[in-house]
Amino acid sequence: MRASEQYGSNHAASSARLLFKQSCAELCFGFDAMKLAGFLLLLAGFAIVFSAFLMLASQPARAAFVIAGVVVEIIGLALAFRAHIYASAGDEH
Amino acid sequence: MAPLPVPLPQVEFIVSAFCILLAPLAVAGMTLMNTGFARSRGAAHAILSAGAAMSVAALAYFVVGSAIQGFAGGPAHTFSLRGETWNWIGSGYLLMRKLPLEGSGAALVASLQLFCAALAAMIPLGSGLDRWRLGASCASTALLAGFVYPLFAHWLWSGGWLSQVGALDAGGAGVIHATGGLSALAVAWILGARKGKFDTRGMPGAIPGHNLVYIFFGCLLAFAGWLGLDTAAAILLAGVPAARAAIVPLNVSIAAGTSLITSLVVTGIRFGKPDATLSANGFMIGLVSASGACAFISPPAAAAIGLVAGLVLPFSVEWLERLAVDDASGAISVHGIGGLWGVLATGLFAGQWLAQLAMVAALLGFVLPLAYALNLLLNRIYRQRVSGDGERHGMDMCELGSGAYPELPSLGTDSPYR
Repeated sequence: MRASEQYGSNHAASSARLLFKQSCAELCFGFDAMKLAGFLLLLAGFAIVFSAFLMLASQPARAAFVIAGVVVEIIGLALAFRAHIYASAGDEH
Repeated sequence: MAPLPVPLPQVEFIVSAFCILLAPLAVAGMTLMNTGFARSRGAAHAILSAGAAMSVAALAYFVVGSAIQGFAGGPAHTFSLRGETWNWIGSGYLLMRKLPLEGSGAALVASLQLFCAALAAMIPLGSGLDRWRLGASCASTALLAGFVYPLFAHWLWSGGWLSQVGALDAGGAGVIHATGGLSALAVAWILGARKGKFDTRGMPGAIPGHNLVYIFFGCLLAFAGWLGLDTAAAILLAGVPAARAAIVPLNVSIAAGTSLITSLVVTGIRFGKPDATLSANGFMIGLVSASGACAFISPPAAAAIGLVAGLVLPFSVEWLERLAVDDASGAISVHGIGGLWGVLATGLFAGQWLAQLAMVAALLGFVLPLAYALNLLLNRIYRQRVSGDGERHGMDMCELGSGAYPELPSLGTDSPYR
C-alpha cells in the first residue's frame, strides 16, 4: 500500500471513530449535558472540600476528604474538556 | 469602611505606597503583550479592549467589588457551625464610602486592589483575541472585577474561610492569576476557536502574533510592575514586614529568569530552535508562579518554582491545543496553570499544603464554574463572538471602522466595513 493510501485509510478510520464517539455522546448525554455533568462534578468536588473543613476536626480525615474532593474535580474537568472536544469536532463537521 | 484593625507602621506605609505606584506597569505590560499577540488587523481593537477593560474593571471594583471584598477585620457576613464562625463574604459599603483616608492602610489596600482587579481583567482578553466583541468583553470584565474576583479575594485576603484555614498567597498567584486564567478558559470555551486555527481533522495550526517586539517589551514592563505589585501585596495583604518583603523582588526575578531559560532550552530541544513567543510566555509564567510564595521562600526555592514553570509551559500550550482550546496569547497556560502551580508550590515550599490544596479546589470547583456560568448567561443576552464575516475582515474594521496600521493594504471596495 502506498503511503498516501495508508494515510487516507488511517484518516478515514480516525474520522469514523470520532463520528462514532460523537454520536454516542449525543445519544447518551448531548454535548451540553456532558459539559453540565463536568461542571456539576467540579461543584461537587468543591462542596466535599469545603465541607471537610466545616464538619471535620481531625487533620487526617480532613486531608482524606480534601484529596477526594480534588480527585472529583479532576474528573469533572476531564469531562468538561472532553465535552468541548466533541462540541468542537461537531462544529467542524 | 472602618480602618484596618492594625495601624500600618510608617515604613510599611511608605514602601507599599511606592510599590503601588509601580503596579500600573503590570497592567500596561499585559496590554502591550495582548496587542502584540493579536493579528495586525485586530491590533487597534486589542489595545482599545484592554483600555476599556481596565476602566470597566476599576469602576466595577469601585462600585461593587470593594464592598464584596472588604478587608481583614472589616464587616463581613459570617455563619457558625460546630462552634466555629466562618467568614464567607464582605459586607462593606458600595462606592467605597466611609473609606478612611487619614493615613490608614485601608486606602492603600483599596488602591492596590483596583490594580489587582484590572490585572485580572487583562487575562481573559488574551485568550479571546481576534474574536471577542468589545461590548461583550467589557460586560464580562464587569462581572469578573465586580463579583468573581472580589469574592475569591475576600476568601483569602480579607479574612475569609481560606485565610481561616491557613491558605497563603503573598502576591496573587491564586487570587489574581488563577482566577483570571480560569476565567480565560471559560471565555475560550464559550467563544470557540478562531477561524483557521484548527483544520477539518481538528489539527491545530499556528496563528502567530503580529509583533514580537510588543510582546517582549510588554514582558519587561510587566516585570517592573510585578515587583511593585507583589511587594505591596505581601506587605498589605499577607502582613509581611517591609524588611522581610525585600526578598520579594529577588525571588520573583530569579523565578522569572529561570523559567525563561528553561522554556528557551525546552523549545530549542523540541523544535530545533528556541521559540521566542513561548520563551516570552516562559518569562511571564515564572513571574506568575513565584507570586504566591514570593515572601515566604528562599531564592533556591524560587529558582525551583521557575524551573518547573518553564518546563510545564511549552507542553501546556500544546495540550490545550490538543484539547481544542484556542488560547491566542497563552493566557490560560501562563496565568491559569502558572497560578495553580504557584499555589501548590507555596504549599510545597512554605508548608500548609492542605490549605493550599483547598485553595486549588476552590479555584477549580467554584471560580471556574461561576465564571463559565456568568459568561454563558451573558452570551445568551449579548452574543460575545463577532460574526464570521467580521472576523474575516478583522476586528479593527468590523468594530472600530479603522485599523491600527493604515499603510497596510486596505479592504476591498465590497467590504461592508469600509
